Amino acid sequence: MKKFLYKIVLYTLLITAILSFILIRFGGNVDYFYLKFTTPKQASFIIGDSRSFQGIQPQIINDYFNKGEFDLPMFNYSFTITQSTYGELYSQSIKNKMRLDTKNGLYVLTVHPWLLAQREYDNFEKKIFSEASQPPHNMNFVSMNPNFEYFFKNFDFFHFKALIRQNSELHNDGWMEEKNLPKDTTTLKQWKENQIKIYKGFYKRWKKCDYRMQELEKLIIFLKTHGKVVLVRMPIDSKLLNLEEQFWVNFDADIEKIAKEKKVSYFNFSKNNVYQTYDGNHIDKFAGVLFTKILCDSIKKNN
Amino acid sequence: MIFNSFNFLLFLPIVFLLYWFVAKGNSKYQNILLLVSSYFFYASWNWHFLFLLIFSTVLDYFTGIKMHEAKTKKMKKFWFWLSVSINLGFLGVFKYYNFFVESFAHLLSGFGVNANFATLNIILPVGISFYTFHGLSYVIDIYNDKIKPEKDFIDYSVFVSFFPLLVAGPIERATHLLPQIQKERFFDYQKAVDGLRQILWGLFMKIVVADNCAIVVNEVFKNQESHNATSLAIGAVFFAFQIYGDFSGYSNIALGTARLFGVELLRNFAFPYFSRDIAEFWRRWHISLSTWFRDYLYIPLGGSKGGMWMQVRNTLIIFIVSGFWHGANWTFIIWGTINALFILPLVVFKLNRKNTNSVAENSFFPSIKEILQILLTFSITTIAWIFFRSASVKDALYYIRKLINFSNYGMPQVDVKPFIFIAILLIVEWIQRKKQHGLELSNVNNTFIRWIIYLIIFIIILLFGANSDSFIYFQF
Repeated sequence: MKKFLYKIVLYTLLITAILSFILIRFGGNVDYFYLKFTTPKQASFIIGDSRSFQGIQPQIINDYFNKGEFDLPMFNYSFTITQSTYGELYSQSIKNKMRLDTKNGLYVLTVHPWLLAQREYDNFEKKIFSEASQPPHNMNFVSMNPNFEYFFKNFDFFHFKALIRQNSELHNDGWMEEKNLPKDTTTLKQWKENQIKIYKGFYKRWKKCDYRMQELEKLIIFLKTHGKVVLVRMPIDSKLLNLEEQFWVNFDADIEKIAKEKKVSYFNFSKNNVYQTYDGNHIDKFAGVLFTKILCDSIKKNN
Repeated sequence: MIFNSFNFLLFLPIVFLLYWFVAKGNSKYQNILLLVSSYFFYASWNWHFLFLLIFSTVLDYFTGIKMHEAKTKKMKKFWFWLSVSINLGFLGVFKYYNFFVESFAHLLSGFGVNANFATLNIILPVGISFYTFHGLSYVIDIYNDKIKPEKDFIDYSVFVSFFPLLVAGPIERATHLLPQIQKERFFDYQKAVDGLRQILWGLFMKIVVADNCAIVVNEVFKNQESHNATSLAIGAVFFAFQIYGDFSGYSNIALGTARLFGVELLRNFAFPYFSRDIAEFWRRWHISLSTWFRDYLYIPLGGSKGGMWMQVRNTLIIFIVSGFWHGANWTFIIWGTINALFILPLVVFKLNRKNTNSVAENSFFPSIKEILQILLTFSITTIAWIFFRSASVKDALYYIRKLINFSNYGMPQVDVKPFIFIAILLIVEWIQRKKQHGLELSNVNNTFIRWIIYLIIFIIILLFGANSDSFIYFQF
């Protein structure tokens, strides 16, 4: 038995060492979110779903505001539409990830109707939230390297085959870079059609709600005590925008009202999109550079 | 809690350490620990159904003793039929009630009668077909005076509920498993190490082969209209390997896990896709179920004793019942019937026991004849699998019609990468075909080489393992 246990322990250590090496060296390639939970606590955040996850590049903001206007570096704490939705769980995770002594942070909160909608399994009165089982909401440790809590709880998100072909890379600042996007129009057209199909599904199943709007307001109040808050609506394809406008008719007016009440800026880039999206929903990394710079201009103008 | 989950990765070492360190030296303690662990394992799916499992255990334990103590044959018969009817009654209600009601209503509608019977909105208790058959074999063996009833309730309960085999077999026999439970188990290093190898191989079969094939299979069977015949053919072949990787992988993990506790379970698969005829295939596929039907249905029906007609009739019956055992759907019944039709010519011409040895027994490579036989056997089993996998008979017939229309063939429209994993599986299993499982390394004496092999398999699982659903046979 001793020999058996000795060998088991040795083999377990070997496996743990291999996994630790992969996670530390290639954590940004083998998982879309892993590095968000291995980096230290942060002062400034980009909050939202995959639109801001891919479309707002923290490095551009760091370079733009390099004269100490804000407590930087910027950290992209956006996820995807499955995980990201304003509510007490997301707010709590932001607080966990935040350096609470921050006084002059910058907080870019992206908004659109789907981020503030009630989902089919939500039951706010009973505190049932559809995002609860997803990262970052299922995480207790958000700044640990290597993060085995993430590994065990969210193993299904890992795609280790990316070690062979790296199509995307999550950077240490939380920005997701798509590296090998296809160039053929047929595939991109299919992707766009797929996005429209997905959001049409949301349109049927989800509904406008007050709870998540109230939670957004609470988050703005909290973040304002630590710095400057701006609300941003990202550019998207007109077909997806039409769907959003049908789903939530006065969305912009509702957000403008909150912005006015809370004395924060609202930058709406959704109309007349000039930025290249690869699937109608996400601006590509080249357009992302330009967009982030324009966003910085807007923030500076209103600072 | 499924075998390829982190919960099981935590559960197994805890039970293992308690078993060999706390309960060591006392079979009573070992069995109590196994029983508590097994009930915990089962309750992690749905604790409500744990009561059904306990009830079934109590019923068979009690009726077993009563049968043995019965003073008259009439009383013995009474207890026997009480047990059989309640066991099959549960199976009937949970698994077959809706099927019979709906089929009857459909039949009546054919005569212009619109019947609207109530159906049950209940989920199937996981493993019910397996533990019911466990219990039935015990009761039948006592009735036939082959064994004496187990007096110790804990021992009997472990026989029924031992967690490695609880949800998807192998379907054990009291004559084989109970004696192992009755005596104290001692740690056997070789057995435990080989058990771990078998678990690793099972994980490869499930996570790499079955789950990667499943992605293509699910797409092809769901949208068969939009795929060409080449894709459908690939889908059918992938399903053959999905179900093999899934079920044989599960069985390997179950057998390997049991060996960690010093228990040998019945072998369930013996490299079936190297079979040279369909009869050999059925001696190598889901062996514990095939032999169960042979011993408790085929032989009591008369087996091959009543002449050719009886043999044909009984063969047909066991294959149809075997199909029905898999699920309450006409697709399974037709799958069973097709297999019966494949095997019947061999039975009639007395060729069903022609290939009882191992393929290429005296050489490394098979002969051309053997290759052709293997390919033919694989092809016909794959055709039958189409019925097994399809949602309805109509879907299966559409699938096959499209497959045999040669104008529908073209470039594959699906991912063919799983062929690489299938190739790895087949090469390893071919090399190991005379062993008990794919990773039995009794002839590799160099520790370094063995560890390299483990590491390679681990890395393949890590890199190429697909996201996993539950095991297919949990639904049966």
